[in-house]
Amino acid sequence: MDETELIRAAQRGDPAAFEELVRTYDQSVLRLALSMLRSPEDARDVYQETFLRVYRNLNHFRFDCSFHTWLYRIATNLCLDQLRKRKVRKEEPVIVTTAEGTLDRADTAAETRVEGDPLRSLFSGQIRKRVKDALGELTPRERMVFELRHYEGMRLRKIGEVLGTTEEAAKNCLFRATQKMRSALGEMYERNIQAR
Amino acid sequence: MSETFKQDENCEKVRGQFALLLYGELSFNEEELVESHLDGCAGCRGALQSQKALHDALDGVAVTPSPALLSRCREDLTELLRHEKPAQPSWWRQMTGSWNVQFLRPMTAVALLAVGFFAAKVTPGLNFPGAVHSMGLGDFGGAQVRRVATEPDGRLRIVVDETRERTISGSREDRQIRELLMAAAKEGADPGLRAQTVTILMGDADVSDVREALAFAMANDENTNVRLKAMEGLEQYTNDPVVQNALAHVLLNDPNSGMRTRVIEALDERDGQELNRQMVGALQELMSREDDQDVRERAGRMLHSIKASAGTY
Repeated sequence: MDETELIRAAQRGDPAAFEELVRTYDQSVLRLALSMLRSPEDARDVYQETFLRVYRNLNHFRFDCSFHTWLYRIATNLCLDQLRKRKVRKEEPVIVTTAEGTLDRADTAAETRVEGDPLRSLFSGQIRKRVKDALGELTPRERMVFELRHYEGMRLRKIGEVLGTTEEAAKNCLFRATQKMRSALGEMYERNIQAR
Repeated sequence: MSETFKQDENCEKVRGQFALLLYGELSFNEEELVESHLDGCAGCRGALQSQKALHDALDGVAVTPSPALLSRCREDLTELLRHEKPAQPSWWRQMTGSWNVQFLRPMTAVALLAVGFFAAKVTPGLNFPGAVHSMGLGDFGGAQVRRVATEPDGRLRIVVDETRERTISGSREDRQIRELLMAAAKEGADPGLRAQTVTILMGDADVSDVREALAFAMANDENTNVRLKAMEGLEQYTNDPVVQNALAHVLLNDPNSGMRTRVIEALDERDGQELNRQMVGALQELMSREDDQDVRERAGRMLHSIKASAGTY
């Protein structure tokens, strides 16, 4: 059964078809939520709410865009709302559950690349906190565009569709995000490269 | 000096493009300009190297959800859906309760055809042009309105598919013509036909049956243009409970954010009328589930203007 048939079957109330749709996309939705919110509990909430909304509104999905775009539109909005709420509350959870257990996300930065290289190891240790801070400094929208482009590998055109904006606006947002990341972290890399 | 300045200015522009270059988001020409600059500028080549290092380091921050978390999420969702009602039925179905229009339609058509057949057998004299004024939709059991045309004198000509095609003429005010128009607005096979009949019906929105047909089209038609036209026809009638129900439905369910925005604008333009509790409730619910920031802000402003809270408690 192709995706269109699956969606139509789910719209007719076929629970197996809905479950298959969920299984197709739920891992990437959870990864996005976890990546954005860096809290398993919040990511879990976004996961539930996203698929609950999909379930409740599937009858109104009219194939005006791809199911993937529609689903991501819901998930990204929920993540953005959560991030905005956090900005107000000044909270920034950083603990994540990974395949290896629970980790501070920033601690995982570049760790796999530094084995056997003391200079890079030292450098990696310095960058942990800086990456965390730099991500925290991005606005929710910048952070979302950055996450979708860098970690989800989504093209800017698609990001524009998902976030309900133009490709150009998404491009500007990515530009600002990378500029900020660069100002926060770039100097360390320049020093590191010069030292080698 | 000016050459140096020009060089610095170019370097700055080129370095600003590095991130997009690494993401493969530059156009062919933009990429070509960056590449040709890099060929002659060692400073920028070094800067690109450092940007690449930063880019690679950020890859290391990628997060993969653990299988345990994914499995927990799936279990929770299954549990949640167990308590969830089956997918939301349409507004019309909610209005008509358990009476399943779609399911009954072919049965009704067959029944009406049978009744029509026997009625024609026993009352053949009634089937003459002068009797058109007494025709209800029942007389067109199973019929589909195929075309609607406006005559030069303003009369309407409607082509109906029955077991055989038939043309019925009459003025817009004729009850039978109006009923055919309402049927076409709700069930016409072609969105162009539905848009056309909705546009004609907009002129008669002071009639409650017509408002109901427009409300149905606004809440249920699969074509955005038809839904939007139907809404235009109802904008002056936002105090009618049927219209308010349909507007609340659109607000909470229409997939097009333009439609949802238009509802709020229509409510905004209401002439001193109070919003009923259902509509206020719909606006409050919208605040918690609306994905479009602009729509959410508009709803928030509307609630603020009527001194209602933005949330439901």
